[in-house]
Amino acid sequence: MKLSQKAETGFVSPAADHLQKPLDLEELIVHHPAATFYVRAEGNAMQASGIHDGDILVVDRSIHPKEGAIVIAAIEEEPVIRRLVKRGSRLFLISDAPKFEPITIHPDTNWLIWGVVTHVIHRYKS
Amino acid sequence: MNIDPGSFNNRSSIVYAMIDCNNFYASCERVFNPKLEGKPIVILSNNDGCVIARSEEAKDLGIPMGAPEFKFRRFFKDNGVVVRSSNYPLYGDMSRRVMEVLRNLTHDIEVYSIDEAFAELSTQTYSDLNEYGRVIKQTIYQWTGLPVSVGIAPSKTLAKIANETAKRNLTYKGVLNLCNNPGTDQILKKMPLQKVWGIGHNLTIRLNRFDVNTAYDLKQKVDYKRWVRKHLNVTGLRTVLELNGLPCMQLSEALESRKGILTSRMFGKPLYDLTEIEEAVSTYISRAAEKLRAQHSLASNMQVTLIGDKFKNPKSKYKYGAYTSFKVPTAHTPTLIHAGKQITRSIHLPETKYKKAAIMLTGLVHNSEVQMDLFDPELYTRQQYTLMECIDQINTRHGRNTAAFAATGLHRKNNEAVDWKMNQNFLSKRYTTEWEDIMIAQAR
Repeated sequence: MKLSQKAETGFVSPAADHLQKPLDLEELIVHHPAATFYVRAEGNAMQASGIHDGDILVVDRSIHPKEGAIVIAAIEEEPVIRRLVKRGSRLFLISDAPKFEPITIHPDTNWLIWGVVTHVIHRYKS
Repeated sequence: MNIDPGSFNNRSSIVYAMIDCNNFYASCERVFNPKLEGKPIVILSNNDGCVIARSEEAKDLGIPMGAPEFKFRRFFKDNGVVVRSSNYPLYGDMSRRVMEVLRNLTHDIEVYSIDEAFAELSTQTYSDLNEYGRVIKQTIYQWTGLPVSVGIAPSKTLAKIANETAKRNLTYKGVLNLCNNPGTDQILKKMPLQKVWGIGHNLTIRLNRFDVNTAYDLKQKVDYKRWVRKHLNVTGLRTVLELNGLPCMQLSEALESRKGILTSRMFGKPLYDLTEIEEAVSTYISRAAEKLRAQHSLASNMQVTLIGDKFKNPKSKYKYGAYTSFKVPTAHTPTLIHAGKQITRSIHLPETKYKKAAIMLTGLVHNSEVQMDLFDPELYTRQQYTLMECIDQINTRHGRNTAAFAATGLHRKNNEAVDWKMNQNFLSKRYTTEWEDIMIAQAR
């Protein structure tokens, strides 16, 4: 029910038959809306992977983490950003900065993978 | 009453599931704060008054529902209990996510409350229903981080019992299927009558006199048709059939329709001033009107109650209420606020300390049942309807109170603290609805 309806006058736009939805950034980066969360990165230990201090990460919880994926993991109940790697039968969480020792996942390690990082939103300082 | 199981079997490939989030509010807090894992958590009511939700650990400490915060402050501190104000933007968004996952996994769903839903499962998706239940539980946990319990059964009433049992008895690991389950009667024998969906307190007392004490006892009554007809109404009869695994209620068929909308809150601090009380009442009315419109209803009557301080003056009357009826049912916020202010003025006593206000909208009718008249100014008009619809849309899209009514005290919002607004001293962040509040992870 509408009380006012805009009347079209003049010439019809030649594009009228070709109207499409404008590009939507969210459509490009969010594949599972119910499982997608945004997380802010603190620190530069993942800089070589393109994650800078203050960047916003797009995290998809529905994806099974593959070897080599960048993940948000809770290690001893602290959320961290690391790359998941497998050497032999052992799992490690490593950073890009050599000063941070790789974290070895032991059977008794208190950890969980919170989600897989799929995109980084980085703002250039101008 | 004829019971012919055959006639119910035309939808035999459909069964019902009840999915319920475990300790939902506490679990939401935990998803974004892994440090809370294993710790007792309590969530306080609006205004931080009393405990409205508890984690399992908090239940184990014996903290009751409704425990007043000020009385338990010491206990919380001594026992390392994590205290949180209720963070509805977070809970609402997490609820939406759970329901979305569920919608993808099942045939159809009915959102029953913020943390529960019924779903129709098609046995064609998974031939093994136990497996189906585990997939639902596991997927919701992985996608949202929230633990749920799943009860599956041929009817909604049994699905609710299955859910309750799965949650309580850890051996089921959160999933219980009662379809073709030979243990069903044993479970029903352990289920007290008052826990059965749709059996109220009064009915329980009445049935207890006939030695009907458990879900199983009631189920057996299906063989005593005269007894059932005499002692139970239609709802009760449906419950008996449903306990026998004969589905009588499909999705979205609520047991009783909503009869009224109540908005009642404590003020942030006691109020004397009529203007301030009017602002508070107007705000509660606009909240109630939003709820009213969200369910496509109009209200015929409104009651405003002001509640004073019972403990300060035990002998004086502490509740003051009055009631008004509308010529034609309405959901027009200005009309409701106008009436609400008149009531407030008529019941407000000078020099009296008020702690709380309650707004009750009753005589609800569906939009479609009322004729809207374009020309009579007394009626709820199409123009009003369109305006309200527009305001609701703005507020849905841009956040609550983006468009608000001046009577709610809007003019003071930015320069002065408004006294009757809620206390929320232990609020966690709005991790999923505010960019400044998103979770932080360390890359160091």
